[in-house]
Amino acid sequence: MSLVLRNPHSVLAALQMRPEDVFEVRLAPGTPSPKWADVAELARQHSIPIRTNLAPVDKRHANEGKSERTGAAVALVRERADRLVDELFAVPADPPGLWLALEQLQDPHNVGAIFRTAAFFGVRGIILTRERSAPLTATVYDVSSGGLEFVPFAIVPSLSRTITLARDAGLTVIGTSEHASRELNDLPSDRSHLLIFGNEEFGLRRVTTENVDELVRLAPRGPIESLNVSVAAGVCMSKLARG
Amino acid sequence: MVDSSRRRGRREVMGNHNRCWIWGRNVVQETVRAGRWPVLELLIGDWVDGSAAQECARLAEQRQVPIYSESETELTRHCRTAEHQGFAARMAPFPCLTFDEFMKAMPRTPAIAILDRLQDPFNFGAIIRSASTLGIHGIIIGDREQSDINSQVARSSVGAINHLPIARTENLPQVAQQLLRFGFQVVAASEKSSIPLYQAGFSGPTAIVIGNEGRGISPELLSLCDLSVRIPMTGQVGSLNAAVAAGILFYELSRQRSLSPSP
Repeated sequence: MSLVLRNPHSVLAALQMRPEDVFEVRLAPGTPSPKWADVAELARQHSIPIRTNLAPVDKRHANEGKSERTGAAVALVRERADRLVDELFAVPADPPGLWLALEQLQDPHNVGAIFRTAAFFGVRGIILTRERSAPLTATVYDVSSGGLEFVPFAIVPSLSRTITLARDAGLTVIGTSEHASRELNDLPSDRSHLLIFGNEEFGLRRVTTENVDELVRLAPRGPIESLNVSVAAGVCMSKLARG
Repeated sequence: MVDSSRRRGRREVMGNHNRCWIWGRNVVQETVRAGRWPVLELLIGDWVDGSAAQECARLAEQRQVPIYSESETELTRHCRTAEHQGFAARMAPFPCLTFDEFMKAMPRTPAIAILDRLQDPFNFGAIIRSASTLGIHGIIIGDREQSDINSQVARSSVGAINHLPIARTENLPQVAQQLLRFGFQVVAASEKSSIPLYQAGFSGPTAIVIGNEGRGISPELLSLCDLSVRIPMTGQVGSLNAAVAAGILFYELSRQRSLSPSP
């Protein structure tokens, strides 16, 4: 299936990583923005068709991925293929690294923002659950601002097998919960971790909290209970990722 | 308890104020309860029962806010989404503090955030939420190219909008100068800085400046900052979303302060 991407950063990343999957670039009339000019240049080098002077594709959804930088220009890009969860852990965990699992995250902005941050901090892989989770739509690609092209991901029915595989690969499995007594800051950063984030409203499933090696929280201090999950994930990655 | 004899034709008089509506049980309940942001009218779904509805109606009545019982269709029309859970409120403009009022509300060793032209309401709301959770005492925003405080911001802030002091000023560089005179360290978050975040100390009065999503901090404001830090990238590519970057900075500040309590 092909996606209609509107963020030039996500298109540039796709062109860099898998140009064969970029079918077409459609530019708005007039001079393109500098980033879209970069897209056009790279597309030309790969002989990808560039069309101009078109009305924006599918105007009804023009405001959907309302993050940063949207415009009338778009690119048609094939979805990135997911990997098997076994493959994600086949990378040697030396030097120590960080993997993430997202359990039933429902907001595409959160999923996209987590991919963007994960690329920045060099997260080794992200595992997403299939049911009751935001699907990887064009909005997720655009919010990730290219991050989705750089972090390998797997989609699984539930996390139980993922947790077992992670442990077999030598990772410590950490769940995040605002009810945990241990703080993120107490975790040793010289180890490999699989860090699990739960649904925006309900947190982790009980079966998952029972299955992890440890639960941590981010030391809340104010009257609001917890952080937005993409911010919480960002803080955790900044502490634990070693690239 | 809930007046169902709602006047017709009100929308025409008020014009299109969709962006001044907030909705959702928790957001509306917390906003009414906190009483900071004036509610002009409260709509409660005619199928809604329970303590949240009762509390909202009681408080609204005390403050002489008109309350209307509405059908699901009407509520959806006002909010332009079906996610209202039977609660909607039309809001007056958000009562931002002046800089002087804001400074009076600060503790002895304040940690504050200055947002320079933040445009995405999701980011703005998430930053208010993070600030409130991670020990930031207040936020100062400018009045140009800045996301308004609207329903989306209220929702993303998950109620923190009702508690955290927020000041709005015409001139952010002037505010930065005043803060410097008051003995603040004014810290810019910038990808271009050579100083990693973890080398900075935040134990004194601190203002963290977060810039526009695309263009960063304005050159004038940046030139006034006495320190510029970057979040070290350990991956190969990319950049951080403004709300995520702000969260990482706030966390570091909060971590340092919890290790060495301010004098």
